[in-house]
Amino acid sequence: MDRRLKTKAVEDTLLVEQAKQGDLQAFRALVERYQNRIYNAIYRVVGHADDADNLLQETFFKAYKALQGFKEEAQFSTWIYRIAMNHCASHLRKLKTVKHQRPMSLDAPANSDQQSTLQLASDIASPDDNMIQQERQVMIQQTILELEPDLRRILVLKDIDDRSYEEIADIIGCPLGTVKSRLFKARELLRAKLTRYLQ
Amino acid sequence: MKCSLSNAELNQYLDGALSPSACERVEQHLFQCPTCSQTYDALFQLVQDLRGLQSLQARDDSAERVLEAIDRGKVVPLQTPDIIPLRSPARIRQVAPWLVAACLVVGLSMFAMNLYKDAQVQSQLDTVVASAPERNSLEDFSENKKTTLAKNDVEIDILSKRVPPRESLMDLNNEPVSDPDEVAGVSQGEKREDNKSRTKPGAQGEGLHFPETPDAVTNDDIEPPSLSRIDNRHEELGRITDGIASSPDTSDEMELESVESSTYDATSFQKENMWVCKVQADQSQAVRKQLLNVLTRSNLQREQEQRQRDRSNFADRQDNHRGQGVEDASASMAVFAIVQELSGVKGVEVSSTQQAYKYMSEADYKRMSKNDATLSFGDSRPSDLTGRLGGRDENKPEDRLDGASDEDGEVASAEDVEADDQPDPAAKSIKQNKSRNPKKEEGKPAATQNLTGNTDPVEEENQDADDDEIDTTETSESDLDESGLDEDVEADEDKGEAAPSEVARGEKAIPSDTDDEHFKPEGNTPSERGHLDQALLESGWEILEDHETWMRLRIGTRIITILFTEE
Repeated sequence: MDRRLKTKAVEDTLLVEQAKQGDLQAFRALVERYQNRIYNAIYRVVGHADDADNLLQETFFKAYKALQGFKEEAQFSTWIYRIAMNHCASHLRKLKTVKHQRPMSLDAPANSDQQSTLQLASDIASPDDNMIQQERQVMIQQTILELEPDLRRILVLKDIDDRSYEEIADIIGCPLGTVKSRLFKARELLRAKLTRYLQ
Repeated sequence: MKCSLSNAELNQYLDGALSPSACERVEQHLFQCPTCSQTYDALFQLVQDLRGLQSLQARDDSAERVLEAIDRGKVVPLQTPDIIPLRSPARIRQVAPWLVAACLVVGLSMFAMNLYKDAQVQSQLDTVVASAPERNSLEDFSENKKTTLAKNDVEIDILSKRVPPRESLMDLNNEPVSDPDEVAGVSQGEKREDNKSRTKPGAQGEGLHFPETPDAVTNDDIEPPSLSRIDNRHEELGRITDGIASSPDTSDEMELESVESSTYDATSFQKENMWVCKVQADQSQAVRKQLLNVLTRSNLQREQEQRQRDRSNFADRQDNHRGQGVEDASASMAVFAIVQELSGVKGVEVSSTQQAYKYMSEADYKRMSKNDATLSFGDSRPSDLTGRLGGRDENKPEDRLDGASDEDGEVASAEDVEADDQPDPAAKSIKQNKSRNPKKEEGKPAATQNLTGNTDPVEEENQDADDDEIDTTETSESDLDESGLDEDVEADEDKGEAAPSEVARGEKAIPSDTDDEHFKPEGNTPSERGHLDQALLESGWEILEDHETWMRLRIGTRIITILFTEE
């Protein structure tokens, strides 16, 4: 682990300690420190901005509630990611059970075999000179949502959030080999889908 | 050739998770194997695309909202409406009520539109039917027809409401009469013989509210219709005939509403009923002859003869003027001409039934009102009215005994002259009877007249029946022979037995003074009168009432009252 990450981890530990002592500003600092990264991961997994925001609120609310039980054995980032991914999994299961569908993009493929949703975030920057790249990103996001949730979470944590296999294993709570196999499978499926769509 | 590089090693190489020796080996294989190299390039591009995805930013108030949630103890989720699939049960439950409501609205609207259209069509039909001229015309025609048909049937009833009650009639006798002749009970026949004191019929009962009849005329005034008057009537007939000829709807039976006559300035009811005649086209001449014969049957023999002469002159002038004569005119025109002619002849008045009531007794009026127009009058004419209106009352002694002192007509005339100076009611009554029926009075024995003047109900009834039979006899113009009639009557009376035909009728065949109210054949034999009545029947006329001074004829539903005035 490099020095920057060590410094950040120390800072998280201090903030966590302060938050455990009831310092909401310390906890607020933790929230501000991780909200964008967690929001981005949640959004890539669930594909809906409002749901991602709600899940983000619930993640930090639940982390604050469970902060007293947080042990210093893991990093705070891993622990908060675990909470977020668990909420995403729970949310996806609920959506699948009630068959609720979120607003779908007009660019969603008609022959999609999954009831995945795709919505562009309102605050997504879409430069005029990179319209093709933006469309490619939309297509990639739509393809990610077509993956299984477990594959989707590992793929997002690895390739989007740039987590290591070990951290993903800690976040997902599964063995390292499972993470690797799921990651490789997710990449293969995603590549095949993208190759078909882009052609 | 099977590649020795697995997909896992390729992905780990991509992630930098291989050892340096493994990395060197993968690099050599990728350099030698284009397939694995192409796959690696695709994975590398995919990872680059995933890592190149734009990093999304959470809401700016996320931290505050987290803290607020912590303060509240729960998270308040953002309210975003759920999007329900179109074919999901939730969608159906959500949309179904609105669909049902929309269907109801559309259905009700269509139903209302249909009702509105039906109402419009119905209103248009009603408007068309209501405004249809044929229907209205038919209804009006039917109503008018009913009124016209029923008019004569209810004529008596209607007139009974117009005739003043009994009290008014009785008051009439108590009213002071300026005319000494009326006070003396001088009849109109007596006045006629006087040729001096002429009063119009309407003036006889000023207490009555009857319309005034035309001014009376004297015998001196009896003259043939002037040529100009005849010409005017002929022109009028010509206009009417032309109008009928031009009418496409000309039938055998024609109904003619007479023109309004200033002579009979009666009420509208009288105008409607006065000159309504209905005859068949092929009976015009027969009707004309019958009417002429009816006129000749009046006891006003001289006037009748004069009228007949005048009528002949009028007919001759008509024939000369029109060439074809009255035969060419329609039946209605002929009757109309006759009626007009009769109305123009002085001493003869063709009036309505109501006007004829003035010359009836109250009993006759009551009978007529109660029963039908075909009722024949009895003999009980009240003296209060008959004395003033020219009738006779058999209850009065002077009326019953008048036949016993009958003398010839010359003597009667002399007595009438004396009666003018001496207004004795009894004498005047005698003179009246003489003047009204001199032939009968001359030939009637006193005993016979007393016999017929009795008040025995059985005899009255028989007398009525006898009168009816007698009325059926005919008197022709050419057969009018006063002397011959007198001789026949006297011969029968001298024999003391009735003629064979009269034997069948019993003693009622013997004329009496009571018969002067009914038509009595004067100079005609019963067979002749029967021939006349038969001709009347054949021509369509029916004698409803036949009296001395008036008679009522009916053809079809039309009734004509011919009133013979004595002025």
